[in-house]
Amino acid sequence: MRGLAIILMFQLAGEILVTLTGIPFPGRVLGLLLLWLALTRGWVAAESIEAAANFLLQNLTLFFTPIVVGAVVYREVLAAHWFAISLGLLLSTAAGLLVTGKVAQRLEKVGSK
Amino acid sequence: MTASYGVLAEIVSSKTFGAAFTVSIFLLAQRLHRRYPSPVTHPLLISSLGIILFLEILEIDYSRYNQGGELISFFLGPATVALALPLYRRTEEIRRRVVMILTSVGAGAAAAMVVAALVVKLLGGGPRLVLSMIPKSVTTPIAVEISAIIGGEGALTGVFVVLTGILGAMFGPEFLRVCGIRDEKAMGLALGTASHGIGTGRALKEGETIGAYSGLAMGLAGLITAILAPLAVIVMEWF
Repeated sequence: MRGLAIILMFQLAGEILVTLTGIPFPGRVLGLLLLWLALTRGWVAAESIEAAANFLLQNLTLFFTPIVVGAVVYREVLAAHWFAISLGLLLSTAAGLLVTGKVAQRLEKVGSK
Repeated sequence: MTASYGVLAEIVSSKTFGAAFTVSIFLLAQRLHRRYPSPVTHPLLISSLGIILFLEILEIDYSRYNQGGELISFFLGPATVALALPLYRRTEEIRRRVVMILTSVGAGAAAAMVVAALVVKLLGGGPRLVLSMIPKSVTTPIAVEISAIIGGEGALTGVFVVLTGILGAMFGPEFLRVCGIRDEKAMGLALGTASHGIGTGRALKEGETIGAYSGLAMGLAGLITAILAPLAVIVMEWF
């Protein structure tokens, strides 16, 4: 329970910072960065959030289900543009794999010389 | 008849029902996936389709269902923050190869964003659809929030995220090998960047190094995409 409280506090801190500054950045992701910083600095012990974090991460897919169900609201958009969407998903996944892989492999060779 | 239907409608539109139904269907889908393990039987895909079918048959509005659904999806927020723990555990690894990791993940995340948005835009997709495509390569909770910030639709992005993950998990390692990418670290980084958690699931089966780098890349790609997505929106306006 303490772990969940810590995680929620960091989420809240991230969201408050985003609201105050108005930067176009996800509050939760800022919360993630703050927690990462706190862990590396030793302000928060990894053990204290471990149980809660594992529970949250192991059930990530469940939490996401109601959002995917929400696609039902957009079925007309999806049906009308299915070809563009399919091609876009296919090509962009290929592009992401290829660019990341090629750049990483090139830099790894340079680095190990 | 109408009276009993009224009672039924009341039950199914209660918060408890939405939450209980979501968790139960998800558990069933998970069981199915364990019996027939394949990216196509991904629990998220099966459970969402199951719930959609149920809502369609009983003619229940999504907004009604989502009163309970929201209780479940609320936990996406803390789950995103919790990603700090696996990243923290790999902080040393990141420090040692910081240039290689950040450059490759950044370049790959940018390429995936631009290609996804560009293809849909050139094939006649409207602005909301294009914006919903931009963050679809990264882990689900981050993608949905980026989508909302840049003016896309979280639910649409959610579907694209899942489909992207399934594509990467089904063909990713084979595609990389065909392209001559055989270095295990490079393969892991590519899978995590292009197909997030679902791709990482496959990466773990390919090997420990591939899996670890995939998990690392998945977290970093989420962060980098959050920073780059507003820039990608500006780039898209040139086309």
